Amino acid sequence: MTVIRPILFLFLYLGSISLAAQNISGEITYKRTSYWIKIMEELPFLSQAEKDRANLTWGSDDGYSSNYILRFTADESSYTHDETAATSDDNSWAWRKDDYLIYRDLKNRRRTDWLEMLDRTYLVEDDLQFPKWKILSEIKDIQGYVCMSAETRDTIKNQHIVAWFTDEIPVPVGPEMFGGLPGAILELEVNGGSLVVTASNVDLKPMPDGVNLPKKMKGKKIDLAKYQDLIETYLKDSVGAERNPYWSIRY
Amino acid sequence: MRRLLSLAVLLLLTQVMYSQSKNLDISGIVADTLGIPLPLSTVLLLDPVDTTLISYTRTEEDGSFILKRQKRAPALLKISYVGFMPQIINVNPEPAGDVNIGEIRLEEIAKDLFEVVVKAAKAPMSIRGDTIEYDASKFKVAPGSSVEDLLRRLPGIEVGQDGSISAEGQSVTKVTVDGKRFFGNDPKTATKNLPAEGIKKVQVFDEESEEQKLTGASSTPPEKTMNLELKEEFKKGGFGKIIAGAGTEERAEMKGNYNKFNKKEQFSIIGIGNNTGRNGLSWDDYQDFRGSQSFNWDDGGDFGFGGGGGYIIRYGGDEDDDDIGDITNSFFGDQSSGFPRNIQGGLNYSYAEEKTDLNAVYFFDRAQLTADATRNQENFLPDATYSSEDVSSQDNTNMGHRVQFRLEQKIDSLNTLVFNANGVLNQRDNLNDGTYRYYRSDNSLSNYTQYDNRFKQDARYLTGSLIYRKKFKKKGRSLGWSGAYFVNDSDQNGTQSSTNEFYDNAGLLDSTSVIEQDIAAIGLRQQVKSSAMYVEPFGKRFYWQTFYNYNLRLESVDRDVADVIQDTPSPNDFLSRYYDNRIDLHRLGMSLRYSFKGINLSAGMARQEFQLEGDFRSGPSVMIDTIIRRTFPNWIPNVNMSFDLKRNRYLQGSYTVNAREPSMRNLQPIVDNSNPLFIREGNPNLIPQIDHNIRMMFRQFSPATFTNLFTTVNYRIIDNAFVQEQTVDSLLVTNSKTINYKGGQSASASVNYGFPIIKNQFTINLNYGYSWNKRFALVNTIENATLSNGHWGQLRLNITPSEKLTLYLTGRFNLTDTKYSINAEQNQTLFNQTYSVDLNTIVVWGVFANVHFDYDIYQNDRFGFNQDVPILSASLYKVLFPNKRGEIRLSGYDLLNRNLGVNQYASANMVRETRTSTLARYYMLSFTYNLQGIDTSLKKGRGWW
Repeated sequence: MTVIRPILFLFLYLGSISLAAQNISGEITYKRTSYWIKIMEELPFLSQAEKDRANLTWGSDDGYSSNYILRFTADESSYTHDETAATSDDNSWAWRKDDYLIYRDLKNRRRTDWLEMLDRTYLVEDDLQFPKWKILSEIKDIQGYVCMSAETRDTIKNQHIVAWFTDEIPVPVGPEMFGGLPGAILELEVNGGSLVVTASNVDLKPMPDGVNLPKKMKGKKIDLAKYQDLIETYLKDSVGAERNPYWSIRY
Repeated sequence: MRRLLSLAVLLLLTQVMYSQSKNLDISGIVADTLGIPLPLSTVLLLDPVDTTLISYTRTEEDGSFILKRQKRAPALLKISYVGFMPQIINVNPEPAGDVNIGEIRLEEIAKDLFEVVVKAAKAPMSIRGDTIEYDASKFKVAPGSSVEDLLRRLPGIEVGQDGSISAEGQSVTKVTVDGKRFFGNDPKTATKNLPAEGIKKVQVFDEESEEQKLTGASSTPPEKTMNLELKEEFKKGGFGKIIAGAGTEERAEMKGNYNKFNKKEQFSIIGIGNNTGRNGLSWDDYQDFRGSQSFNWDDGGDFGFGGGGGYIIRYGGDEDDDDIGDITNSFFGDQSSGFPRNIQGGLNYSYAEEKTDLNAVYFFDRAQLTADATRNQENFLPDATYSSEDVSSQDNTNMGHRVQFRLEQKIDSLNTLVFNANGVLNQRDNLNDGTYRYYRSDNSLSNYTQYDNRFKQDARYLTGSLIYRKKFKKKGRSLGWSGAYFVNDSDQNGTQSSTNEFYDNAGLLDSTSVIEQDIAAIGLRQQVKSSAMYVEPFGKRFYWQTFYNYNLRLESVDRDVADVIQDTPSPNDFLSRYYDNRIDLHRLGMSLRYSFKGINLSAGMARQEFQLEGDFRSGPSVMIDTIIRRTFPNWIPNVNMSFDLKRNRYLQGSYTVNAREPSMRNLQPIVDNSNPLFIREGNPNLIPQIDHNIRMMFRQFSPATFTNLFTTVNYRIIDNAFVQEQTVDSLLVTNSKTINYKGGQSASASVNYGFPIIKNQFTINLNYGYSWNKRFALVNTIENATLSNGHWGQLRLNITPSEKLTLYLTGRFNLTDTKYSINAEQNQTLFNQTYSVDLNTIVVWGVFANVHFDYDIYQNDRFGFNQDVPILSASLYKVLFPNKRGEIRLSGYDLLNRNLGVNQYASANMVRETRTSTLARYYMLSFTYNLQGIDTSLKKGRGWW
């Protein structure tokens, strides 16, 4: 008996953060829209004339959108391209989707990011650490779910991120590489709207096969520190070369 | 076992001790105002300094929660439940023991407020203490509404008959805009006068009265204050600049533009005047002028092979002035020869809202060019050569007024209409006089001509087009239809006078012919076009595309030529020409496309038929003397391939076929001797020339190492090529006729490789290209095959070591080796080299310097031709005023005074060199005032961002 008690205690201790996750699972479809002109506004090497010109020419254009799917259970989540929509708007062209799958093992607290950038496909494997979130006071409705807001900062890409999460889906998952809030993130807004990822459909359903990872996820294995170092170096070089870095890496 | 047991006990002990010293549990119960428990409420533990999330949990069925083992430090507990006002509680733990908050009662958010704001309008609602704030832009009001109209729609706010406002039952006594008091004490001033469109957020909160602030208590309830936050984009934008310069050699230039815009409207104005030929207008200026209308990719209604159907088919027409209404023509191309004088200016207005996009432009353009030129030409016959010298002077003026209108209307999410209308009034005035001298191979003079030609033209152009595009619910299915009408009418008046003296071998005058002609011509050209396209997807990866094009061209020209003899004109029926042409094109095509994951393949076939019909007369009194009716059917295949290989590598290939119909002018079976030394004859037996083109392209870019590779290979073979059949008689009069002949072939390949030596400081770019060309001509019935091999290469070094120095070095060569089958001694090698240096630096006291040096070397061993043209230009400039708005600049152009305007050209049986007197050295002092500030970056060629 004396053996069981501390183990039980330990279990409670670990469980305090992912409590009440229950058996909730499903699929969330996101529309990821980036606004090129707003991204350009952030580039330090562009002159005011160049920014004004771009804003004048394309400022009122729609952003570039594509769809992503987040599959999740109480233990894990995966976020990747929605392959059912793989052609351009007028269907005249089919782009190749880059290798991209963000896997989160919530149970064992591990991250696996399978992504293509800077000429090759990487497999970033490391312990899962969530960003430090600040809870804000706004609420709004996304797809019928009342969401609370929280913000954080990506110091490497110098981005301010606002996330809208709902405690009606009590799993700490989200789009892109974000998570760790008391509910699923249904919307992300980066740098005041340069990038907006918003849920277009929420389908809560049993996921008997889990998140169903693809069989082959090959790539050069690196850890998180190496990944961050690659991004940091590339951003510095690109700004030095006066070139928009976000043609070759994700914003 | 014992060991394990003791380990567990140890662990337990440390846990307990740890909890007693540093950690604590926080517990409580969440309920509504009636005390009914709220299960599954969210309980967040936050850092009190910046509200960073520390931990979280949810309440049980009975409303209770416990946050275990938290740090013993002050914290915030935020409790929220859908539809209730979240509550924030300060947690200040004692030095020991756990914290029990007890029962927390949440207050329900006024039901209508929550349902309307959050659920219906999907507007974010922000709750700070007891202030509720929401996004007003999510509540739709009619355009032109005032803030008052907007407030009437907001839940929880009531607007009385007299415009007085109350919120949650209390009257609003103060309205501020962006936190500042709007003029006057009456809150209605702001709400009645401000437009609703400009409002981003409406906030209502209790403001403590002065009494309250002083005493902390009040006999009166707190005042309700409303703050209106303005939209960012409602703040308008504007920019502009003006540049004025005066120089030596009577040179001056002036340029100015101004833009004003907001979210919906764009207005711009531009004006340029100069006599330097450097109008300084670039693509950037075009974009600034046209704004959102700079790119309208979908305005091509000539559907054909290829994806969306923007593929433009071009065919026919002796002249290529259908583009005359295009404003882009005015923005590019500096003149480098002669003495130009230009004035341009225009206005652009655009209006855009959700479904409507409207644009109107006016542009004026006057370009004058005066130039004196000397042209030396050598012609090769199978058995002899002869040469000519032409000394001419010209004064040409071209003036145009252009108007463009475009409307794009989205009917709904699936249907779009685009309407375009352009109109141009154009006036041309040409004056050309000079002398011709022809020499035989022994350098004896055979002909001497003095000429004076004057020509005026007035032309009007009008184009209208309508494009309809429809998408369907079924993804990938689409339909397009377009119709267009083009009309151009012109009248020309001119005089041609010349005196031609012919000399015999002995150098004696053989004969003299004097030509004095008046020419008057009226032309009317019309074009009607219509195209349709339908795309049907099948499977998930295949598309079946069908298109049909119809094009009708009607041309009618009345050209009267009169010989003027002793000031009396008499019609010249031989040179006068009246004709009516009708050209019909039908094209029906289909293609099958495969599109999936970066692989795009398409193959198709079209059947096209040209129908040519022409009636010719020589003057109004003459009966129809020639009628031509020809039909040319052709099969046109098309193959396109594109692969997105991984790692930024792309491979593309295509096979296309073009059928070019013979021009009506070449089909007319008549002799044109308007130039007595060059007599043209038509050929009614011509059939279309067919070009087969094969292209391959590979491109790779590495973002990690900043290297890029770009290679292309092209091959073309021509069937039934249009070839000139020429005979030259002993008096050096050329008779020329176009025939179909076995076609030529050409091939070319190029490679471009760029890579950094030192990242961002030293970059190398290498180019190499090769071309091979074989073409034929018939001279005095003998086939002359011209075979040329060309090599060109370029090395570019970008040296950008610091913010204060940039240097760009370019070296280029071009080697062309031409061989002739009938006259091997004419074989020649042209070798041109160009070196250029561009240096930018800061000299001293904030003075910037730019030095640009171009060095061109032309060599042709066959003619012993060896010439070098060094052009050196430099400028010094200083930025003035706060925000770098002003600039003063001293520029010197062609400091070595060596701009000679030399141009060399060699073809199958002739080589020509032209020298044009040209503006050379001058200095200019100019001043710029730019509202956006002067860009002082020394790096150039930023290219695409």
